[in-house]
Amino acid sequence: MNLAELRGISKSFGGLAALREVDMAIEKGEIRGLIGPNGAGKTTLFNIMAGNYRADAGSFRFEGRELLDVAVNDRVSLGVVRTFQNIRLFGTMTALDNVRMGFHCRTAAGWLASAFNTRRAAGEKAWVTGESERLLAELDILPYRNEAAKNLSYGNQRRLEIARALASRPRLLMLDEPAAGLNEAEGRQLLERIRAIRDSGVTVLVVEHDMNLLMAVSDRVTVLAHGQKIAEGPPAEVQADERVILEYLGGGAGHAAG
Amino acid sequence: MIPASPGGWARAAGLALAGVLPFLLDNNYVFHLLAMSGIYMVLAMSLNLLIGFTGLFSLGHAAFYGLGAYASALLTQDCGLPFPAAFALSGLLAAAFGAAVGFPALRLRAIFLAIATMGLNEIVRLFLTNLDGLTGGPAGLPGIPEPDLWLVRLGQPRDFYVAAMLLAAGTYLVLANILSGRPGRALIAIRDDETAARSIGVDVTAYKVAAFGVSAFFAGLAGSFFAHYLTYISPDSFGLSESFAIIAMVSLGGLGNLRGSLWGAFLLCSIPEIFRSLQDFRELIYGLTLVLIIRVLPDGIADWRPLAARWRQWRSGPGLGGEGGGP
Repeated sequence: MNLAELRGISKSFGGLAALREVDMAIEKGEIRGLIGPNGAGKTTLFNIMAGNYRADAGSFRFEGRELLDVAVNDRVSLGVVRTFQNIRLFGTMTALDNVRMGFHCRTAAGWLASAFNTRRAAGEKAWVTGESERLLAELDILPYRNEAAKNLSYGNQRRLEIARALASRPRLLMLDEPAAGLNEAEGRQLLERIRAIRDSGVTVLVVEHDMNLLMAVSDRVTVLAHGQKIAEGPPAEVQADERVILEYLGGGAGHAAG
Repeated sequence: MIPASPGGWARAAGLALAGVLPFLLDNNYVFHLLAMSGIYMVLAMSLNLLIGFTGLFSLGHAAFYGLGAYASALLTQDCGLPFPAAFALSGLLAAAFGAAVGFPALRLRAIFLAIATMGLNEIVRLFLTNLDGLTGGPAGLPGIPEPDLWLVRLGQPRDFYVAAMLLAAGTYLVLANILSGRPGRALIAIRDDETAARSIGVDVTAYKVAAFGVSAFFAGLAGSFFAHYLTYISPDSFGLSESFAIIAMVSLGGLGNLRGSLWGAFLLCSIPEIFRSLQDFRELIYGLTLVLIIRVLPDGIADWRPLAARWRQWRSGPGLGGEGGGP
């Protein structure tokens, strides 16, 4: 069954067509890789799915519901959550508070309930704290719970961002270049982590520059070039695809785009 | 609200002691000073919610303060409402006004929001000055009744001191609860990274509007209290210089430091009073404080590290540091 279905997504910036009629269907429970040379439109597509950009045309159905007109923050409650290539944590907040923020859309305490710290608000707070600590432990960063996020090491900041995203209970987790800036060991750990997340029932979409990691982790890969989809399928199949090889290794028109 | 640790009990005991101290002096002037400090504590804390915790730089806090004061005065004088009702209503009116103002203002970024709120402050002051029939114009509104709280009637500066401190304490508790809870964390998230906040499910617009509303609510309460304490108000009390005084208090205590706002308000209320001969320089003192704080202690008086670092740099010899070397 398809969890997410994109149809005919187009987007131009000024006169430049970044995406032209892109279709993509993501199955429930898979890890989907999204690759393409620089300027292929993968980040644009990613931002359209997350709601940061508005598509010019097309549709994005998620669990049978049209999402293109849904605000970013409302998509989060529906289960579509993203991370950022250049890590966007709440710098002055502690690691624990960053993860607590992830529970924002799964909790309800409002201004009045919080102002008087009602029994329900206090109970919710305790629950969020417990769950957040569990997530921090799961990502091996519990010792830094009271450290300001901006003081964490780069690798731990990446982990914290994933913990925060998981706290929102995503159904589709969108990772934007999660391996950027990680060393090889950290990259391997990340690969295991993404599989574990998938095994826990979350569908994952990964945009990644690191071909090795992407091919190793993905169940299926979608390849974009010049704003169009040129291949889709299991990693081995895609790697053998002639057009993909042409785009990536150069030759003909593909060279100029690389 | 019950202290959770021995440290908490010690602090509570210290606070209680400090609260009793003025009674030993039993001096009306001291009580007056502290009552005014209490009002400014509420104003500083509520402004801190906006500029310190949410990152919305509003320069027109006195507009909400004045609105609360005039609303309360008119509701008791012209509509004959009892003080408690007028007090609550003036808070709610200011909140509605704050939210209404907040909505369009949110489309503006940083410096433009600052300019727009400054403009708003002036507009409110001009309305208060020129709507003679309603507000008494530049002459103001005299004869505002003293607060009648059914059981007690506030009249002496001593009564107002106690009431102002209770109001400040209540405001502190409510704001501290909000800030350590779900809405407060969302505000801080918006301040730290608006895009990330939205991408983790925060309705940024709704929270900003609500922050404006809550901030204005407490400013309105402070205004009502002020009006019924002095029993006379005029537009002069709610101009831009008043807004800047409150900003100076927030900055002195530290942006994003709620307890600091209590100190900032207390210090900037008392210092100009202690040096009575400097009365005419009140605004100058506020301005200087603001400049000095921003330059020397950007995190307020609670955090001396920037100054210590500067001192070390200065001691380590001239010619090395970048900061003090200008032409």
